[in-house]
Amino acid sequence: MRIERYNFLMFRDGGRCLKFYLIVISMVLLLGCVSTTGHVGVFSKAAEELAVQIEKGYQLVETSGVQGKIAREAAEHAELSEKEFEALFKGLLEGSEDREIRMKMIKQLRAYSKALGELSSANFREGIDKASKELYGVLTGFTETYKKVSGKDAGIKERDVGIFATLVDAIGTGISERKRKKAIKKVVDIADPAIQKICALLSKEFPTLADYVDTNLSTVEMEMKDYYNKKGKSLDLLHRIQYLKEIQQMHHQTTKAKEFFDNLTKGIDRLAKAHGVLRKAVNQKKFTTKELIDQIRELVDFARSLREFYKGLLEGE
Amino acid sequence: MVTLRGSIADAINEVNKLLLKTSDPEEQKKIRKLRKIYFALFEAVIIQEINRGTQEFKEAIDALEIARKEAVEAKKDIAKIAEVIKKAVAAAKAVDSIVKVGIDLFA
Repeated sequence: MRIERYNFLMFRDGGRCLKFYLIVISMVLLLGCVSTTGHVGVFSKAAEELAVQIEKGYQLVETSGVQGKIAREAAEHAELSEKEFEALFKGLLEGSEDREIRMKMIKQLRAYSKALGELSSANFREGIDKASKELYGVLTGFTETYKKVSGKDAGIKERDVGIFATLVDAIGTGISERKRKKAIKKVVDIADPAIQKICALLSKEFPTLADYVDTNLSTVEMEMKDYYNKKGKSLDLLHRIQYLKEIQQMHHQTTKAKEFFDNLTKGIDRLAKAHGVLRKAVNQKKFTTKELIDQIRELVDFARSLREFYKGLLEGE
Repeated sequence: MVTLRGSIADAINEVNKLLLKTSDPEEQKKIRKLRKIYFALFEAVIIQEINRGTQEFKEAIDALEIARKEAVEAKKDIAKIAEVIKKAVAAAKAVDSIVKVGIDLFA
């Protein structure tokens, strides 16, 4: 209970505390002294952070695509019509239903993770209600978005969602921990097939997008090098140095973007695995197992390193 | 595992390297035009769902591999660039037969 209250205080400060929070939680996990439902809370925070990074991955697809197009057009130096200018600044998936539906799916994944954490830690009835309302919406949403993205069924049964709502009601105003665990078990159980399918889909899709990002950024880098080779002599020393630094920065971005996507794909796989282990644990009425702690620890580490990686990618570290 | 988008990405990367090797503005212009086609096809491949089992798919991958190898060879022998462009256009046509972008840039 003391730990849960401490976590609550940490999150009043929002994202700025997240890094510290993750470090603390990693340490706590190592010591294995988080309360039973606390592990669900840690899992949900890491999963939420991972969903944020997945969103950033999609943003990177768009920005790198535009960067690549700009570099190619600049190198060709052809006259462009108004329509061509418009197309130049448009990302690969921008404005398409493909992008919208994926963004919606990631937002649902994020909302699910957040609400699961709230359900596991809310101390008052209204917190439980808020979390369950969110979860109810997300479970229904998963079915719709996954169907649109893949054309397949996410595996969530309407009847089960109804049972979850009944279990949440049963928690009562006095918050029965036993009933809370029952509700968590139900929601994890219902959501798991969808989480597995969504993660499998993202895991399959990201390497494709990674190739696209890498090829675009490499093209920018190559055009910059070509320009330096051809026009470098006409620049003075200071400008040559400046320009070489810009090439270095671009090279860094290209390399880091590739690593970011590789790790993102691994992170998505970890999320699927951790959720699967969570499901297995709660079905055995164990909210804490060594396997679960190990999986959550790995997920926390991945979420943290991805965040740092993305930051470094932007800052040229 | 060989993928169509992976093959196009490799072809673009080789074309990029080739750009650095040549100083002839006309050849560079042709290479950049070709790269533009590859990117258009690349984007179409990503967007569309490709049926990996089709014969066109296999032919496109083979054609891209030939084009990529030619580009690698041309880096050693700059006189080969015209041949590379010819092979690369053939590869781009093979990809286009799948994604049906209907690129008129081959003209």
